[in-house]
Amino acid sequence: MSNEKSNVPMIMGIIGGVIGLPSAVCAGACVAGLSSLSETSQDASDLGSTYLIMGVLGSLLGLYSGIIGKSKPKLSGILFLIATFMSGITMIAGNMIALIVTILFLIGSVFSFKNSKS
Amino acid sequence: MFDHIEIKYFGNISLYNLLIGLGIIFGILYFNYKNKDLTEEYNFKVFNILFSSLIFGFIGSRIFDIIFFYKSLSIDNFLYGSSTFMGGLLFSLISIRIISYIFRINFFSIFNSLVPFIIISHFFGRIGCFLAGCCFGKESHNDYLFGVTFPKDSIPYNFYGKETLIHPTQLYESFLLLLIFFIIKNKKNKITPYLIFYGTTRFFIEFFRNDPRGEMIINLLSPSQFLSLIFMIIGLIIYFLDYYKRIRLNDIKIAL
Repeated sequence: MSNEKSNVPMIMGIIGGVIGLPSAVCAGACVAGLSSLSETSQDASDLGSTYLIMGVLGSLLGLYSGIIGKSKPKLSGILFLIATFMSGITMIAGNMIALIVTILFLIGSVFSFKNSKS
Repeated sequence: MFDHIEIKYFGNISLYNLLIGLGIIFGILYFNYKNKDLTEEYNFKVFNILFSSLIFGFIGSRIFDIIFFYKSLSIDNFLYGSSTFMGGLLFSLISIRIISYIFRINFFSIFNSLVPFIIISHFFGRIGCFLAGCCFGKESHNDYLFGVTFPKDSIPYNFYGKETLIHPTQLYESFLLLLIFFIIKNKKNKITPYLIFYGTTRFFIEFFRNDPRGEMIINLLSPSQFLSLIFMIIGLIIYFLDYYKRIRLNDIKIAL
């Protein structure tokens, strides 16, 4: 039965998603701003957009994984791992909140795989 | 102000976002609690609808802000603009209608089962608004019973230019949402009372709000009041045309 499964992936995914989204937007803007000091503005803008898209997609994927965590735990676990990777990459941009988000997604992933076995 | 939690070496976490997250969590927990007997397949479909409605809701809330505040349609205005609940709700409902059609799930049944989720998330979201200082009210003219002051550098402080007693409209709305939740929670048809009660609540709360309310071509009502009236009318139509009789949660399993 679905209600015997843990709610942890759902909680981790949603909390990670809601704090990861704004920080990803911030990180994208920061990278574009900082990089523009040393590179051409086009390169800086591209780099910022890459981090922004990566962070936003990672957070959305984490949020989605959390929401489907109980009904499709295996799929949720795999998506959580991808979201962990995507959010983790934005740490390069100095987005330290992404570290928290990455840890939350990783915990969500572990519990999702645990749910899939129950 | 309590608009964020500061974590040393990491940065700030917005309490507004965190409370919206808590609202979604409690909303889902309540949905799972009330729908224990539903299959995993059905749950998967419902949560896909829920996720898409969250995304469309976010997009709608920003688009309404751009429309009613006459902002230019740009990525910056979209990403860094403010959100309006009514726009979000409207877009969410449209997305629920479309995706429930794709999944062959009865729209009224799914909307009916998601009404408590919407109320719970909204309740937490308004508390988040209070902590962030947005959606603030008019001056309460030294009425200490219904007046709160926001500290320096908060949004209301910057708006009024001083510390003054204002109506905590965010808390009024939270309290009334809680009341609506307890009124509808055991009703079969939750859609009609939700649309009528929330529409009425929002219509009157708008008179106490003083943050920028947006503009319409005819400025008799604010955009949110106009939408509130539409929601109330839709609620009545659903009731009088017996659409609520289509709410049969168990039938969804047959449809799958």
